[in-house]
Amino acid sequence: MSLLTPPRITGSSVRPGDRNFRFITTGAGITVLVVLAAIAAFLIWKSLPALQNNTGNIFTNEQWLPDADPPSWGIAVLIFGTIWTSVIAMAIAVPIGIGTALYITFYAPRRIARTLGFIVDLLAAVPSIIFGLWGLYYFMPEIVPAAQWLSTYLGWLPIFSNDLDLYTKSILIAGFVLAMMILPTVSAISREVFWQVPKGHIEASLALGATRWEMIRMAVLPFSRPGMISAAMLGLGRALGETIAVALILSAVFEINWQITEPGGNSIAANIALKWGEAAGNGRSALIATGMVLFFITLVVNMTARWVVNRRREFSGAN
Amino acid sequence: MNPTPTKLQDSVETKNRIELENLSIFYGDFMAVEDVNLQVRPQSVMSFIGPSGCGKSTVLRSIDRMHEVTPGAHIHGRVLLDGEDIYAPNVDPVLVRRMIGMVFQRPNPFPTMSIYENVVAGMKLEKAGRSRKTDLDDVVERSLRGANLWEEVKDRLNRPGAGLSGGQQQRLCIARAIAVQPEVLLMDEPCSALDPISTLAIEDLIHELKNEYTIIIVTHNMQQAARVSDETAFFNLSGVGQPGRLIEVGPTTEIFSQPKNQQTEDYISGRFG
Amino acid sequence: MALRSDIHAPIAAGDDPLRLTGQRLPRWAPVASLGIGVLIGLAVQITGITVIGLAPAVMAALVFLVVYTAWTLAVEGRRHAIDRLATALIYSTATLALVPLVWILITVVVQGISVLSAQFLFVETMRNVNPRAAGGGVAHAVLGTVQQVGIATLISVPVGLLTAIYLSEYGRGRLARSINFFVDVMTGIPSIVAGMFIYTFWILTLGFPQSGFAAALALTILMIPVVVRSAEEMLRIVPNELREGALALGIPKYRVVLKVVLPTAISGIITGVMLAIARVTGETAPLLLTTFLAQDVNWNAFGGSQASLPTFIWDQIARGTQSSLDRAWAGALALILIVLTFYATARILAARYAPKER
Repeated sequence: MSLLTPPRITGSSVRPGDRNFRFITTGAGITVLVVLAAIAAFLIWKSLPALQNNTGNIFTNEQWLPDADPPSWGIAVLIFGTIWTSVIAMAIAVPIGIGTALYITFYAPRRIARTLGFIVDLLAAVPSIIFGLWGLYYFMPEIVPAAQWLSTYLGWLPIFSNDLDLYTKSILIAGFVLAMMILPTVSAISREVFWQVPKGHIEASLALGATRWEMIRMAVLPFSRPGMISAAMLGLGRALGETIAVALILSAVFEINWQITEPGGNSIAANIALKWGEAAGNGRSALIATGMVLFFITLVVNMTARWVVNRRREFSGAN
Repeated sequence: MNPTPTKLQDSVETKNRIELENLSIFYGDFMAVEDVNLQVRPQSVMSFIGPSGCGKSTVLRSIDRMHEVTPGAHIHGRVLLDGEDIYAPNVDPVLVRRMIGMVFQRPNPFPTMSIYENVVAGMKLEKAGRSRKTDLDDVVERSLRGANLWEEVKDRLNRPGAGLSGGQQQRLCIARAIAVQPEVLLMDEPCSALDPISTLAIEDLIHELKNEYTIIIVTHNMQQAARVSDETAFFNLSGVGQPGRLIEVGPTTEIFSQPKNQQTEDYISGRFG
Repeated sequence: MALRSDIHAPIAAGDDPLRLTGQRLPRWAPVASLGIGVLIGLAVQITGITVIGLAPAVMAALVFLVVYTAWTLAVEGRRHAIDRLATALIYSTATLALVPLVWILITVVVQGISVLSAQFLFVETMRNVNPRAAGGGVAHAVLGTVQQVGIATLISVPVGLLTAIYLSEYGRGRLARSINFFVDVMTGIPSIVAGMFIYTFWILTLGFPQSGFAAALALTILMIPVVVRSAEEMLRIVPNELREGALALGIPKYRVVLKVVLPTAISGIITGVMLAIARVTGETAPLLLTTFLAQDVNWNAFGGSQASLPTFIWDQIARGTQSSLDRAWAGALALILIVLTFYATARILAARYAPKER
C-alpha cells in the first residue's frame, strides 16, 4: 500500500484541458477565416450589378458616371492615385523608419533611445483625421516650396514638371503626409526586429574587426530582412487604404495627372468616402466594386510580402 | 603534452606577443579586475582558470577591446600587442579586433550566410568586392583545413552555416576567426557548450593552431587547461564584492603540480571553485 | 599549414598593410564639420545666393555630410569614412523622424487648448448649438468613441489572441496555412471596405439600425488581424527552449502556453494591441458609413446613431466656420488625450506583468 498514487501513464493521451484549449483556439482561427470569406463573398455579390452593366473597359475608362444611362465608369484614375501616393509614402517612410530603428537600437544612449522610441510610437497614435487637418492647414504651406524646387530643378523629368504653377493639394503632398502616417509602423516593427538580433552575432562581427556600420550590414540587416519587409508591407497596407487624410488633402479631380506636383488626383478609398453619402443603386454598387479592387491590390501586396519572408525563412535563423 | 617550459624572463629571441601591465578593468565606478600583470609568449597557449565571476573572461575581453561594447567600461593600465599599447588614443579599435580574433562560448555562425560566406566574412570587410573568386576559395580551404573542418564540409560550402552540429559550428567560427590571419586568438570557454567528442576535437585543433597563432583560452575545466596549455594563469576574487586578481601565473606543469600560492593549490585540489 | 613569415603581411597583394596605430580623426571633427555647414547655411541665408536653389538648412546639412566624410576618408581611410557617413545619415533620419510628431502635437495643443475644458469634454454636446456660435462640446462624441472602441477591443482581443496562439502553438496543417494567409489578407483590408461591408450587410441586408455597435463591428474587422499578427510574432519569438523545458517537466501543453509562453510574450503582445487600439480609435471612414452623425448623447450603443470623436471632427471641419474649426482642434486634442491614456496604461501593465527578458 502506498500513500501516494503515482500518476497514471496509461489512459487517454489527450487531457481534457488540452483538447478544450486546442478546440477554442482552432475555433477562433476558423472564425477569422469565416468572417473574411463572408466579407469577400458578400461584397463581390453586391458589386456585380455595376460590373455587369458597365459599358467600356473598367481598367482604362477615365470617367466616373455609374448612374448615367448607359453607365460608364472606370478605375484608371483611382488606381493611379492610390498607387502613386503609396509609392511616394514608402519611398520616404521606409528609409527613415529603418534608419530611426537602427539609431535607437545601435547608436543612441539608453535614455535617448527610450525617449525617441516613445515619441515615434506616439506618432502612430495620431488619428488620420488629425493628419488630414494638420496636413491641410499647416504642413502643406511649408512643403509647397519644396515642390517648387522639384519642378524648377528636376523639372526636366516629366513627373516633376509643373505647368500650372500650382503646388497645393497634389499627389506629392498627399504622399508626404502618408509617409508620416506609416513611419511609426515601419519604425516600431523594425525596432522589435533589430532588438531580436542575437548578441552573439553582433559580437562575432565586431570581433572580426568590423566598424559599427559593417557590423550592422553583416549581422543585423541580413537577419532582420524578413522582419523589415514585413514592417514595410504593413506600412504599405496602411498607405493603400488610407482614406480620410487623402480625402482632405487631395483636391478631388477625377483625372490622371502624371505631374505629381500639380493639384488633383483621387484614390480609390478617398473616392468612396467622398461619394458614398450621395450614391445609391448602381453608383453604390460601382463604389463597392472599386473597394474590391482595392482589396485585391492589397491582397497581392501582402502575398508578395509573405512570399519574400518565407523564401528566406531557411536562412533567417528564427525559431 | 606540453613542451618543456623555459623560464619566462629568459625567452631571448621573441618579444612577448601580449603583455598586460597593471591592468585594472572598471564598469563605471565598479572595479571588476585589479592590477593584472601578465606576459604571453608568441605561438604558445595560455589558459586562464579560476572560479566563476573571478574576472577571467573580463580580462580576456579587454585584450581585444570587446568589453567596450558595454557602455561605461574602461581600463587603467596598458595592454601591449607586440610592444604597442592597444589602448593608446590614436589606436583604432577596429584594427585591434582584426589582429586579435575571438571565439565565443556559444558558437555563433551568421545564420543568413552559407559556410563559405561565413569563413570569408571577415575578409570581405577589407576587400569589399575587390578580391577574385579563386583567392577567396583558397582562403576558405586554408581556413577550413586549419580548423579541421574541410573534409566534413567541402561538398556543402553553400549550405547555411547554422545547419551544422554544435562542434562543427564552433570549428566554423574558428575557421572564420583565423581566415583573417590574426596574430592572437582569444577563446572564451569555447568547449563549454559542446559534447565531449567535439571538445576533444577542438583541443586537438588548439595543439595544431599553436604553431601559427598565440592562443589565450579561458576555461573553467582544469583538466582541459592541463591538457591544452603551455602556461596557466589563475585568477581569483579577493573577497565577496572585491575585484578579481591574478593570483599566480606560470608553466602549466608547475601550476598543477607545485603551485607557489596556497589559493592556487586550494583551487586545483578542489577545495573551492 | 605554412607559417606566416611576416606578421604584418597583407592577406593578398594590393591590400592596405595593417598598422595598429595611425591617424585618427580629432574628437572635435564632427562639431567642426557641423560648424562649417552651419556657416555655409547662414551665408546662403544672408546673401540669398543659392546652389541650385537649395534652402539654407538643406545646404548646411549637405555641406556637413560632405566635409565630414571627406575629412574621414583622408585621415582614417575608406572603411571608416563609410562608417561615419552611415552614422551621420542614420542620425539624420532619427532627427527627421522627430519633426512631424513634435510639429503636430504642438499644433494640436496650441490650437485646441483654448476651447478644451472639462466642461467641453464631459458635459456639453452639440445639441442645439449653431455652427457659427462658440460653445458646445464633445461629451456625446467621447462617450461614443469609448463605447465603440471598447466593444471592438472586447471582441477582437480574445479572438485575435486565441487565433495567434493557434497559429503559433498548434496549427501545422492546411487549416493553419489558410488561416495564416487570410489573416494576412485581412491586415490589408482598407478601413473603408470594412465600413462598406458592415453598412451593406448589417444595416441594409440584415436590417439593423445604424448604431454605435455597427461602428464597433467595423472597427473589430480592422483590429483582429493586427492583433493576430503582432501577437503571433511575439509568440514566435519566445525561444523553443522555454517550451521544451516546461514540457519536459510534465506540464500539459495548454498550461505551458498559458503560464510560460504567454507571459514571456506579453509585453510585446500588449504593445501590439495598443497599436491596434490607437489605430482604430482615430478611424473615421468606417464610422461615417455606419453611424449617422449624432449631435446629442446616446448611451445606447445598440440603437440609433451615436457620435464619435473622429466623426465629430470631420463634421466640424465640413461646417467651415472659425468656431467649428476651433471645436475641431479641441476635439482633436481630446482624441489624442484618450489615445494617450490607452497607451500609457498599456505600458504600465506590460512593465508590471512581464517577466525579466534580458
